[in-house]
Amino acid sequence: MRTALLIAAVLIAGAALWLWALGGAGDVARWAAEGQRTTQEAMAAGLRALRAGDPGALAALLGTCFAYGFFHAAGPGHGKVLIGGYGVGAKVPALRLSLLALASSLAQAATAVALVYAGVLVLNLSRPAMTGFADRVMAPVSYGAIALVGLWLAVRGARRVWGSGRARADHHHDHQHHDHHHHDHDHHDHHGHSHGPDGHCDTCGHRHGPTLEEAAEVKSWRDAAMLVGSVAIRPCTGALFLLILTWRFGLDAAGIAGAFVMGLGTACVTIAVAMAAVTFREGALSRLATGQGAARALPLIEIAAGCLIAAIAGQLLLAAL
Amino acid sequence: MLLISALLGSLAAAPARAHPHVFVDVGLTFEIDGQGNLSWVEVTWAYDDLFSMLILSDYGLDPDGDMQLTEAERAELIGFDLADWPEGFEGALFIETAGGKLSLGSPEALSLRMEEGHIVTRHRRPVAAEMPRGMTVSAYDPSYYAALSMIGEMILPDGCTGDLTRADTAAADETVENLGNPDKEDFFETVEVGRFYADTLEVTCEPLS
Repeated sequence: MRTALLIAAVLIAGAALWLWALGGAGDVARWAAEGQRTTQEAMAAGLRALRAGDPGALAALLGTCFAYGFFHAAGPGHGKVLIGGYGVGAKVPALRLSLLALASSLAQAATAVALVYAGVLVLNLSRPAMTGFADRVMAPVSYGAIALVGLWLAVRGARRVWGSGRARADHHHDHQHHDHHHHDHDHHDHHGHSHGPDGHCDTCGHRHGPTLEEAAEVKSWRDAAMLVGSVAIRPCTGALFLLILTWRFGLDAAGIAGAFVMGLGTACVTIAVAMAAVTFREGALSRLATGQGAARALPLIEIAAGCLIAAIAGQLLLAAL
Repeated sequence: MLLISALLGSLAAAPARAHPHVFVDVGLTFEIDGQGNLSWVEVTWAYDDLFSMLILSDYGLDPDGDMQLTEAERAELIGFDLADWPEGFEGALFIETAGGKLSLGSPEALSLRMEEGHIVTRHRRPVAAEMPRGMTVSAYDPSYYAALSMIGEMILPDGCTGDLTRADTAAADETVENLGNPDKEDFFETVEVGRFYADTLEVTCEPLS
């Protein structure tokens, strides 16, 4: 299992290198533009076949949905900006960020299903009204939420810079781990002693509240909810098209399955971005070596990544308003 | 209207996006009147399969799903892509001449037919102008909700030749990616990316004798 993950990571890092360092992104863009049209036509053919009851039609349609999600995500997108930016800015294991990327894509599919079924069953909306709502309301809300996540990352990084600077000025004690895991009990620092990894003070033998792992855990659940939620608010128009058509054709189950399979296709791209981001961060850090340099650089990277996410999402938001 | 108007004003609010949802093949015919003036531009739009299917189901047509329409169904659907153009939508057709942009009048539906599962519509728009010696014609949706390709038939007046340049989508993607670059001064301007993905037809005409 571990070996398989390692091999996957190496392959993905290689793909990332080809994409961004060797100019492969241009080829992918061209291929994606053609691919999207081709898959859109294949989806129409799949729907026709399914409606006609052809054997194997469902499998073919789901395969097409997967390709559609993949090609769709290969273009510039809000999810990739956030997942990639977060992976560069915050310390997060590649596997966890990949799972978050997967969860974001599936949650986005769930939003599309919820919008279409609320739209047709409860609100009796027309298709233009539903896609218009997705574009005019849900998209700006999603971009706004992503911009806020970016700002929040930047603020967290800034607090860390400020916090570690203050601690260094006031005291000279051993608290290396504070540079890697921010936690909210700086007041313990004035004790002037070192904390063991389990949160116990080495010298006084009582427990000081949450361990570093626990603090990181809480934060990552909060982060997880923010990441997944802000991406998921904006449903993919292609999924809406599919769901509306399948509902009208009485093929609801196939449409819902197709929307989630589309999410899996999208997730392939965002997971690659997640792996690339974590790989980039680890590589940049190892070059900075260890010790004070890296400790100072970490929050700065977080601030920069947060600002970049906020700027790009803010730009999308302004364009969408 | 294309798409578009059917997509209900989502045009006006479309964010910077580099992935269209509707694909349209465009054909154009330029009609000259007896005095050598450019009188009409006729536009053919052929929609992709999925969008065609969506439009038929929006209108509740073609219940048997064979992608064929009866005469009555065609009559009901004709003009669907001309009704309710959103404010500021110029019909996804732009004609530049040495004397400036040609102004095109309101569209008039000509026909609608099904062709191998695609809806194909024709409409024409009046032009009151002397036939220019040269024109740069581009067909695109500024919001890029629809991707238009000028790969349909192009019929030019006698004595004119056309040179079609397909959009360089890779270059366009790069341009669009850079729009998100906070270092660029146009960063906060509203971005209508469709023009970066536009095909262009350069038309050159011999002087009339």
